[in-house]
Parts: sequence; structure tokens; C-alpha cells
Amino acid sequence: MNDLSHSRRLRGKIRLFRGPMDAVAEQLWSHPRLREIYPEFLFRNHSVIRSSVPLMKAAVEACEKILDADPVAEGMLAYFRKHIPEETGHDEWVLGDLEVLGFKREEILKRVPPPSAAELAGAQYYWIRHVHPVALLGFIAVLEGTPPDVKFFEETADRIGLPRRAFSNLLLHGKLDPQHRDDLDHTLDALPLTEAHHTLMGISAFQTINLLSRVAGEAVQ
Amino acid sequence: MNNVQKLMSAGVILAGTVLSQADQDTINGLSDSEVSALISLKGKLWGGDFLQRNCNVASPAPAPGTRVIGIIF
Repeated sequence: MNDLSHSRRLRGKIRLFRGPMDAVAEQLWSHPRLREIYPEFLFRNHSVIRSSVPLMKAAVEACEKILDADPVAEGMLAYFRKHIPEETGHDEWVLGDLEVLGFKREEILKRVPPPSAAELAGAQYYWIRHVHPVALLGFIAVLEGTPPDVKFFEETADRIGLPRRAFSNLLLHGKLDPQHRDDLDHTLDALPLTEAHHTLMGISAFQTINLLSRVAGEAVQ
Repeated sequence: MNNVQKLMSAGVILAGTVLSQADQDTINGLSDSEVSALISLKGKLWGGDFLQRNCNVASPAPAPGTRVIGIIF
């Protein structure tokens, strides 16, 4: 019997196995050519974020189908219905950051996203539609679990000579994500999760760590 | 063989890594499917030599102020 809360269990797994992600972050943010690489990073960032609300909507559809039979579905629905409006438009922030750097949004939107971003989102669609939507909570726990350090990114912008306005996505999430992280933890702790749910969230989180590392790591390749 | 031993044997956790009791409990509490997933993912880790040399999949928690990968949901 595990005495930890649901959120502590999931966060504990992510903490232990997030090494590859942290290594890529270190490589990226300390890169001597970060000023040149940053727009590519933003493009990849957008490639992931553009799927965030659609993934949650897919999870809502899946929860609605199992609502009568699955005690976890109701709590998850409440969480997604609150979080979808909170996240709507965040892909626009990244496009705005790219426009500050001189890129045209039409050109960004015409460009084919990297396959690694498609794998990252695609894996979640698979879990949601073919296994159980609870998997998406493992994905969200990774992406929103460590809010960006606002001071660090302000200093990074200054250091590489880019306007802070081009870091608005990171800076805004630095301010919002602590609450989002707590909201997810409260949701997790209130859900009647089984060992099977914990396994799926864990696998989803590990897969997210791996693929997110690739999406970002390819920018410094 | 417990999960810690399995993951060390598979190279997911570097041999000789000292883990706290709490971390051992977390790892030994993983399901067989989670352990299999970690072993499978290790073979697909991004970065080639850099990541495989300098960090295994399992590592201590980032220190406060550690740079956070900035891909946010």
C-alpha cells in the first residue's frame, strides 16, 4: 500500500527520471549561439503548445464517453473544463514572440512541425483514445510541473541581446504555472485513482520526458 | 531482482548510484509496465553520447534555481 498522495507519487517519479530533460535544458540555455538558436526553439515550442488545447478536448470527449462507468471521469472533466480556457491562446503568445524577432506568423504556420513534436502529441492521442484519458495528466504534470524561472529568463534575454518581449511565453508561464501545478496536484489527490491509473500516468510522463527532450534537443543539434 | 537492480542492470540507473530510501521505495514501487517503459525509453534517449555519458535516466532532483526546460504546456 502506498502512503503517498497521488500527486506526490507522480511528482516523485518525474523528479527521479527527468535527467535527460534537464540536461537538454542546460545545453540549450547555456549555448554560445543561443541568440541564433532561440527562434528555432520557439518554433518547436509552438509545435508542442499548438496541440495542448486539442489534446485536452480529446480527453474531455473520452471522459464523456466513460462518465457513467468510470469514477475518475467526472473529476477529470471538471479539471479539463477549467484548464482549457486557461490555456487557450497560449500558442499565440509564442507566435507573438517570433513576430517580435521578425518572423512572419504565416511562414511559421506553413512550416511543417518536427516529427518529434508529432510523436509527443501523437502518443497522448493514442493513450487518450485507446487506453484511458488519465494518461494526459502525466503529460501535463511534466510540462507544467516546473514553472520557468522568470528572473533567469529575463537575464537570459538581456545576456543574448534579445528583447524581453520575445520571451513573453516563458515569462508569462513562469507567473501562471505555479498555480496550474497546484491545481493539477489538487485534482490528482481528489481522484479515486487505481494502480492501473498510476502506471499509465507514469508511462505517459516518462514518454513525455523523453520526447520533450528530443523536441528541444534537436534545436541545438 | 527488485526494480532498482533491474534498472541498474539495464543501465537506466548508473551502477553505483546511491539512492535515498525514499527514492528506492519510489523506484521499487513502479509497476512492471513502468519499468519496461523506462528500459525501452533508455534506448531512445535523445542526444547520443552526451546524454548517455553525462546523465542516466534517473538523476537527483534539480536544485532550486536550476534551469528549467522552457517548453510549457
